Amino acid sequence: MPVSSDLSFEQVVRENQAMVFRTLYRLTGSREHIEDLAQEVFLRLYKALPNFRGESLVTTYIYRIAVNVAQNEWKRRKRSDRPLVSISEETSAWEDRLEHPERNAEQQMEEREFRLKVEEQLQELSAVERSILVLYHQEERSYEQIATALNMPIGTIRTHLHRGRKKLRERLQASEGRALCPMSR
Amino acid sequence: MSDESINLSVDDAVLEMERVLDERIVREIERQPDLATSIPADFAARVAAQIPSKRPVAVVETTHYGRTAMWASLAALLVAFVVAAVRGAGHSPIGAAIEMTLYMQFLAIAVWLGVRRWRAS
Repeated sequence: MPVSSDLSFEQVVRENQAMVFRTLYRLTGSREHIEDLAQEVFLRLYKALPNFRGESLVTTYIYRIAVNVAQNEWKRRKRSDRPLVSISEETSAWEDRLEHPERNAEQQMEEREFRLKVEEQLQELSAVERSILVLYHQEERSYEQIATALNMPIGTIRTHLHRGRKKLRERLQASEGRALCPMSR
Repeated sequence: MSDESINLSVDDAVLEMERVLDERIVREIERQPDLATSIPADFAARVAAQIPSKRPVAVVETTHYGRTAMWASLAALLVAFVVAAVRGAGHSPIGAAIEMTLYMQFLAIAVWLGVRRWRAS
């Protein structure tokens, strides 16, 4: 990846901006300040490039920076006591992409509500669990890439991934009032 | 239906529910948000415009590991020659072959170092 000129770096930004925006969106749970956060990611990347020795892909490096920026934003919002998830935020992006227009309105409403709950519960997970879930499922990174991005052993990544999914399932079940009461033997 | 088979059916149903819910959750996380409208058209240009005009120069320290290794090899070969001469290794066919190999290696390294020096000058 040539970054010997400003024009080349602009190209790097253009090629990776969508990935950075959607990762930040999922990690922070809202579109608030997302443009500023994305700018910060790329400026940090530019400053770090002289030290980049090519041990991993540049995208893995970008993910690492994006996760750090998202975590800082998360901490800032917690300190300012602001709601961590903008549930009432417009979801036109979701609504506009109706994959199955033939489904009735009730089904679509139910799916939308489920989607919002997943988003809400995703933000309730720890920063590490949320990052790993997003990088693995949304960004389709491998365990090795996630381990490099987060500087963690692969076994730890697997554990957090499993725990994160389990917590999400349990909390969604609890929020929907589904009690699992296996009969005693 | 016995109690045990009823319990197994309930457990299976619970596991199936959990599996279905897991799949649904994963599908939602895998769904990539559509943020096309959130990314300004000139975002990349604006970021590039914030880059300082003078890029910080990365100081790269030159190492000479290869050259050092070659000099060390030369020294080791000289020691090997001395040892071979003292022990009279050249008197046997195998010893003569080993000596010849050491000479060729010494010659090759010496030529390599010489060429490098000539190019550097």
